[in-house]
Amino acid sequence: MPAATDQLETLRAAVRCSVATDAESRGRFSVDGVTPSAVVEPENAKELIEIVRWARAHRAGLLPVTSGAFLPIGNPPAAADVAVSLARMNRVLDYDPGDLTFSVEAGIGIAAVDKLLGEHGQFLPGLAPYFERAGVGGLLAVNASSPLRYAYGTWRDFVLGMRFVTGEGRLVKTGARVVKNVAGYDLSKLMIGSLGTLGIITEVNFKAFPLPPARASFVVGFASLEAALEMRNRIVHSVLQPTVLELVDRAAAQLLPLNTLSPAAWSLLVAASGVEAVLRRYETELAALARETKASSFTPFWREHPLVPPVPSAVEGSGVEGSALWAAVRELIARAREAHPAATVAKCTLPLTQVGAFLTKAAQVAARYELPAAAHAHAGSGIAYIYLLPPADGPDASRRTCPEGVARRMAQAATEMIHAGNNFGGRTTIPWCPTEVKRDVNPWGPVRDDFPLMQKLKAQFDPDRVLNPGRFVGGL
Amino acid sequence: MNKRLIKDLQKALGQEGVLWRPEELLLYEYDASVERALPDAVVFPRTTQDVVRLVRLANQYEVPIVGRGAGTGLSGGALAPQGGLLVVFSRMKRILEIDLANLRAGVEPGVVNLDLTRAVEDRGYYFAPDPSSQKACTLGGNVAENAGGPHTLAYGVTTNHVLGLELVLPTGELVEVGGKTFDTPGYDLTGLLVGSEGTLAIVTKIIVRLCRLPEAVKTLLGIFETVDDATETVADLTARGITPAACEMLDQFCLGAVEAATHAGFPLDAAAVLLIEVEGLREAVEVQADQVEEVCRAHRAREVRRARSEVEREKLWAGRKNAFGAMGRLAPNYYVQDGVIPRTKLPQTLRAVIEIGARHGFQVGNIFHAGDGNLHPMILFDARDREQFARVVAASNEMMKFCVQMGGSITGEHGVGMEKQEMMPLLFSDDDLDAMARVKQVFNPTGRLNPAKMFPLSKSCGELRVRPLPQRAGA
Ligand SMILES: Cc1cc2nc3c(=O)[nH]c(=O)nc-3n(C[C@H](O)[C@H](O)[C@H](O)COP(=O)(O)OP(=O)(O)OC[C@H]3O[C@@H](n4cnc5c(N)ncnc54)[C@H](O)[C@@H]3O)c2cc1C
Repeated sequence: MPAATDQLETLRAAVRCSVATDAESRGRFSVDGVTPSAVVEPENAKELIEIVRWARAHRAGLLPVTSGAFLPIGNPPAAADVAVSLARMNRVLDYDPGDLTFSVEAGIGIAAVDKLLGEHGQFLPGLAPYFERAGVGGLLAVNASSPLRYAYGTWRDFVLGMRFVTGEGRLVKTGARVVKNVAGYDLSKLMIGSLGTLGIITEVNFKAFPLPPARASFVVGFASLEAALEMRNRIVHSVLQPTVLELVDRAAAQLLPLNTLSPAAWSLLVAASGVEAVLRRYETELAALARETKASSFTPFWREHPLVPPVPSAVEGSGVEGSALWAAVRELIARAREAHPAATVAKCTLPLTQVGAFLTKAAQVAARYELPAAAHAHAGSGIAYIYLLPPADGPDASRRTCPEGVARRMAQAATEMIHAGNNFGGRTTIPWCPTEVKRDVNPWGPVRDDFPLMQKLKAQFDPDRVLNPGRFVGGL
Repeated sequence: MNKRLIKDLQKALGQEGVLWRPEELLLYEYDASVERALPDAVVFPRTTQDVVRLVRLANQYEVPIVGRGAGTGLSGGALAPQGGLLVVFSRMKRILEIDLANLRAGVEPGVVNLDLTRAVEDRGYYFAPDPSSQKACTLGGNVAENAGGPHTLAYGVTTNHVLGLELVLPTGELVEVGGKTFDTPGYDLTGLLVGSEGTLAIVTKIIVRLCRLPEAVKTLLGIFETVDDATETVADLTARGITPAACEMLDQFCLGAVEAATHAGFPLDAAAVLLIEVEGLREAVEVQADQVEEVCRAHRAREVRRARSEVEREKLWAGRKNAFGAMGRLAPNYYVQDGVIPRTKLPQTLRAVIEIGARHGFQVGNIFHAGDGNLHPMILFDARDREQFARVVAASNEMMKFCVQMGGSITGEHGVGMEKQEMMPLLFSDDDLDAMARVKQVFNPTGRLNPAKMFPLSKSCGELRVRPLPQRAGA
């Protein structure tokens, strides 16, 4: 849309919810230099449908958002005339703790969900970055990854059903709220990770999980990547079933506000849960594996685990530790981007056996472009992240914009990582990078043979391209 | 059927790759459901390229084309209600790749579920989804139906274990979706295809995850004097966050048949038993088994037995997994239903199921995935009696309505197929169904692939189509 004022008048006339046009509201949802002309906050699906219908009629582009934390992910918008904030659609609709299922509106914060479930000894394994801000809808749209995926899978594994509004303004339900169901096509799968380009999610039904009785973490330091991955392999192929298996290099550890992490070149972070006897077993076996793989350090943290609730105030100051380690690891991306707003993050999904080769190659690429780099991996799942940081000595290290030269180097390095990902049997995307970098690199990488099917699906669900146009794979 | 088409099929696959004489087709008139329909020809591709050729021929001659694995499906998915080609994958059963280092396998669709586990178990791995039919059913069928099984309670159903597919689209194009790795960028077409009941594309290759076998397993048999005690135990286990690897229920009616067939040692005088398995590290399994026993006892279990040996354990599971077959001893036919409800609603739903059966004059056996809230009421009847079958359909329809009222679903794993099309409006609005129809439009616009499945055929909501009388129900 041509953000002409008369158009905004038609929007005001068409929808019941308030239409904010002040600079501050609009600025919150500015993405890649595109600022929406208005922000609307529907209170329910009906109001949302009115907005979508208006957008269709006026060929306007909508930018669906929950918290906005993940807004930078994707291509620059082809059009983002009106930001549709789901902040008011934040209710818990139903919670049946006895069935371990619940249903929420998509605008609810994940932290609020976590708190509610925690009160009933349950949790949702979606501990993604920007945890304190992030909304459920946004997390699903970008399929945000959590360290817990090693044991619990990703959103697709614990979403039971949902409702969404299509680009034609139809409210569609898929799935149900039971833990097993095969009635009809599973459209939740289509919606998860689709960056809001097929529909705007309004409600989600989830499966919850019982909090384990006891939890612990083990940090194992290594001088070499090979040794760290050897230990990972031994764990993956053993009968041990840890809940988390992460890998960070020294540079990544240094981004974290922690002194618990060893100063080793590589640290393998393992979290386990179960009864006390089980945790003792993990300690013994992991310590043995660490020795066998020539680890430089092995440190148990008896109260650290991604599922450790915050320290109760009653015991504060009594030496009981909270979950500082995992809260920090979870927020690694947020931390890195806070310290280096121009950070470029490549995510590569790999076969387990290729993680080492990719990380090695990535480090070489970064060095060749003289970009400091940090590495992090969901090592048990074959997902590697490379953080390309602006040169530390440059004058622009902490600036939000990226100097031309640095942006070009980052784009070139990112492009090489996309190729490397392919060569190692994986796929690289560039979820986070400054707008300047997006000019020279396609954040989604090349499309594949299945792309025409994706285009046709887009045409069926959003024929007029009102939903996040241009932002997803291949410009969907 | 068109003689020229038969000739062309034979040219493409060889004489032995095509069945078309009426007497040869009879076997393919059925799957394990109560539906039946005759194809015009049955074809046996050996390669993906064969499948491409078949799809092209179906298009050229404008005949329907339907995929079929082992034909153990319980909703008529593998039948050809509008005739045409039935593509059977029994010659595409190669395990193409076992990549233990990456915990992956690549298989052709005709590989039998259990054969994959057999191929890797001596090295300590397995394929987790374990439908009770796993000795016979194929991975292609599992993908189409998104099959579950006793142990999917803890490990997830087929969709949680499939990462990539090779597809032949109804146009004859070959496309790969997903892959060996997680989180492939773009829409999750693999997730969409799994559970699409063979209505979107023909699957010619499947990439699955393999899992590490657990260190220890303990199998318990909780024996109850009332059905309510058993169902309340399940609800309580769930509420207390005790997640066994499997939690199956068998009621008295089924126990008799199962015991007579397998001599596994199931009690004949109990109202119901729960077959519960806990898995994991030795230390965890000990504790979990005690917890399970404690909950069973809290709900007045008469006895909680633990399998003392692998032989005893296998017998109990053989009893469970062969139960449907054993039911054949009790009546000429049975009709298996497949409803799901929240686990908190289990006791009242099972009471309702039994009451509905009784009201229609049937005894109902229950043997099901209790931990998932996935009911399989089994109605015994005599198919020679036309009027009885009409009542069976009415009773099962009522049961499914009850499940939906409880906030559940009309199918947890067997699929909609030809069986539950007219029940879809119980769950879905016109807009919901329209969204699904659009997906079908993208993949299968002519509807030539697996026609007349999953979507309601009649316009009137919730009304049952008159079905043909079954000759032989169940497997
Ligand atoms: C005794 C018994 C116990 C059972 N227990 C369970 C259980 O515990 N859990 C469960 O989920 N199910 C169970 N079932 C149902 C059935 O076994 C499953 O649905 C199974 O997945 C079907 O596999 P199949 O190879 O027999 O497929 P078929 O019945 O041959 O076909 C099923 C569907 O798959 C499609 N299809 C097959 N191959 C392909 C392909 N290559 N490409 C595209 N579409 C294809 C067919 O068109 C059809 O729609 C049971 C059935 C019986 C008889």
